[in-house]
Amino acid sequence: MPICRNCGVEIEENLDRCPLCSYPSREVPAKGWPFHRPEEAEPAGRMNAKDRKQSHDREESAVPLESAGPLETEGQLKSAERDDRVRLLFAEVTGFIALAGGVVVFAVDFAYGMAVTWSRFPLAAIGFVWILMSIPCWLRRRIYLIICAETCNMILFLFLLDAFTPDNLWFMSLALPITAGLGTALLLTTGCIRRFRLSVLGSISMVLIAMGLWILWIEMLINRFLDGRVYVSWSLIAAASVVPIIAFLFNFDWRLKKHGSNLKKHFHV
Amino acid sequence: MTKLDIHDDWLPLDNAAKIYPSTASIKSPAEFRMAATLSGPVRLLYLQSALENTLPRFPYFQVYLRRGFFWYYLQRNNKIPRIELMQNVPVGIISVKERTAAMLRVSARGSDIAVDFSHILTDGNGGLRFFLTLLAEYVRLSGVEVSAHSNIFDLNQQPSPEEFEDAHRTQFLSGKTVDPGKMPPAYHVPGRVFLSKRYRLLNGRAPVAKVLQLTKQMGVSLTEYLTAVYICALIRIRKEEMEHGKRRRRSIIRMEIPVDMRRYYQTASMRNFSLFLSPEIDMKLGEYTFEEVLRQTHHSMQLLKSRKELQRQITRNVGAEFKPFVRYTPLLIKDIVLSSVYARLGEQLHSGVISNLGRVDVPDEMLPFIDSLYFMLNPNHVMKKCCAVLSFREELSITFGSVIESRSLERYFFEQLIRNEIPVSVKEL
Repeated sequence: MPICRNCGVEIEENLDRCPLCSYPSREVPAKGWPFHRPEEAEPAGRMNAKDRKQSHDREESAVPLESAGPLETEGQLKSAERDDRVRLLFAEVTGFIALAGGVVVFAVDFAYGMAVTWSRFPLAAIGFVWILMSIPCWLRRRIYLIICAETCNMILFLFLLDAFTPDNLWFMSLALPITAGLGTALLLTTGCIRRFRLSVLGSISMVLIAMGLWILWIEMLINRFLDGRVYVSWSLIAAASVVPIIAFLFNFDWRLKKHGSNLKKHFHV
Repeated sequence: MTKLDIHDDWLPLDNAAKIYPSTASIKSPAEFRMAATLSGPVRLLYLQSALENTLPRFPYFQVYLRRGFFWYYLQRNNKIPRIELMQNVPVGIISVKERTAAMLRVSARGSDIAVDFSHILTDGNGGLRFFLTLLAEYVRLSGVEVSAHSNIFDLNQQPSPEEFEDAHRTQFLSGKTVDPGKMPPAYHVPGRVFLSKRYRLLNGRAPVAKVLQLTKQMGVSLTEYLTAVYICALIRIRKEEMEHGKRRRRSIIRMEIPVDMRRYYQTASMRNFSLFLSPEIDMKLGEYTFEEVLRQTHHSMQLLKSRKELQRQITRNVGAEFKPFVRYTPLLIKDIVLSSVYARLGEQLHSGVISNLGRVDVPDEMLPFIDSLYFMLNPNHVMKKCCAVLSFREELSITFGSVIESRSLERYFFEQLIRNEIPVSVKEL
C-alpha cells in the first residue's frame, strides 16, 4: 500500500488525497516535513523470561497489599468524640449567652424594684430560644423526639406569654390546638417520608399536603374562637390551590420513575 | 443517590470525575495520552476499522459530556470518531464543553498511534486497557491472531455491569471519618508559561532491569525511587532560586502520586478508581541528602498507602458528594465554587506529579508490531511539569511534560539516575 508522504501512514491505493491529512498523494511534501519517527533509544540489555518475571514481581510487591480485614472505625469514633465536644461547646456558648441575657433583663427589673412590666417576656423568649437551639444538640438525630420536644417547647412558651398577659383567653382555644396541630402534621409528614422513602419531589408534595390540612385546621379554630362555630372559607381556597401543584409534582415524580432516563439524567443528584 | 442502570442512554459521572468538567481548562487540562510507535507505518484503514470494532465494546467511553441541572452527565452515543492527524503538540485540549465533542481522540502519524483520554472518562489503568485492546484489534486485522490476555478485552463479549460502576461508591464507608487534614501550599518550579497552548515533552529511557536491581538494593519500590529523584531535582531548583536572591520560596515540596485502587479492591470498573499519595518534605528542616529524601519518601509512602488511609480518602471524597447541600446546589453555582476552590486549594498543594502505570504486558503476537509505548500527562500551569512512567519490554519510559522553557528539572532528574549508574537515553517527542 502507498504511504502518505506528508503524515507517513499507509493509505489505500487509488486515493488522490490522504484521508488523514488531505495531502495529495502525488505531491512532494512541504519543507520541514513534520512526520518523523522518534529515534531509537539506546538498546538495553535483554532480559530473559525469569528476569522479567522477577522484575514484574518486584514492581508488584512494591505496593504491598494489606490484609483485607474489616475496616475499623477508629476514625469514626474520633469523629463522634469530636462531634460530642462540638455539641458540648455549642450548648455551653448558647447557655452562657442566654444566661447573660437573662441576668441583664433580671438586673434591670431588679433595679427598678421588680416593677418592669415587660421583663418576663424577654426572659421567656430567651428561655424559649435557648431550649429551641439546645434540643437538636441533646437529642441528636432522633427526629421524632426532636419534633415532640420542640412542639412542647413552643406550647410552653405560648402558655407563658398567655399567662403573662392580663386577659389569658387565647392559649387553650388557639395556641395549644394550633401548635399541637403543627406538631402532629410535622410528625405525620416525617413519618410518611421515612416510611415510604419518598423522593425529593414526593417529600415536597407531602409537605404541601400537610400545610394545606394545617391551614384548614387553623381557620376552623379561628372561626370557632371568633364566631363560636366551626366552618372553613378562605383556607379551603388556599388548600385547593396547592392541589394542582401537588398533582404536578406527583405526576412528575411518577414520570421520572417510569420513563426515567430522559428527565432523570437532567435532575439526578 | 442515583442508581446506575447500564441500559439507560446516559451515565452519571464517577466520584473522581465530578470535579473535572468544572475545573478543566487550558491552564488545568485533565487529560492523558497513551501512545505507541509501531514497527511500520500505521495502516489507516485497519486502524479506523479497529476503532469501529473496539469502541462499542467500551460503551462508557462512547459518550458526550452534557449539563444536567445538578450535575454533569455522560450522554451515550453510537458515533465512532474518525482517526485524526496527530498534531505536533502531543496532547491538545479536548473541548469537553462542546455539545458533541468526543471524550477520547484517536490520532495517527507515520508509525505512531495515540489515544487521548479525558480524565472524565477514566484513569490511566482504564485508558491503558482500552488502548491495548485497540492495538490488539489492529494487529488482528493485520492478519495475526492475538491470544487472550488480561489487559485485552474480548470484543465479542458484552460489557459487564461492573465495568460501568463507580467503584468509589461501592467502597464507600458510611459514617464520618476524620479528614486527612489540611495541607499548606507547596513549592512550584519557577518559569513563565508558554503563551501558546503548546507544551513540550521529553522522554527518557532506561533499562528497567538495571533500575529495579538498584531499587531492590536500596529496599524501595520503583515509584518511591523516582519520586525521591524528582524531589531532589526540585530541591536543587529551589536552592538555586534562593542563591540567586529570589524572594522566599515555599518550603514544602510535596508530590502527587496516583495509586491504582484496583490493586486494593476487587473491581472490574473501567472508570476512574485512583487516589493520590502526597509524600512531602519540609525544607525548613534543613538540607537533605538523596538518601535522606529516599528514606523519607519510602516511609511516608508506605504509611500513606495503607488500606485504611486510602479508605479515609474515599470516604471523604464520596461523603462530600453525598452531602445534601452539595447534591442539591444547582450546577451553575457548583461550577463557580468548584473552579475557584480548585484554583486556590487543589492545584497549589503539589509541587509535581509522577504517575507510574507499572509494567505493561501484551501477548507475544503483538510484540513484533510494537516498538515502544508512551504514557503522557498534561501538565497544568501551576505545577508546570509532570512525569509519566511505564515499563514495556526491557525499557523504562519516563516522559516529562512541561509548559515552561526551562529544562532544569528534567536535567537534574536524569543526572541523578546517571549518578546512580543507570544509563539513560533522552529524546524530545
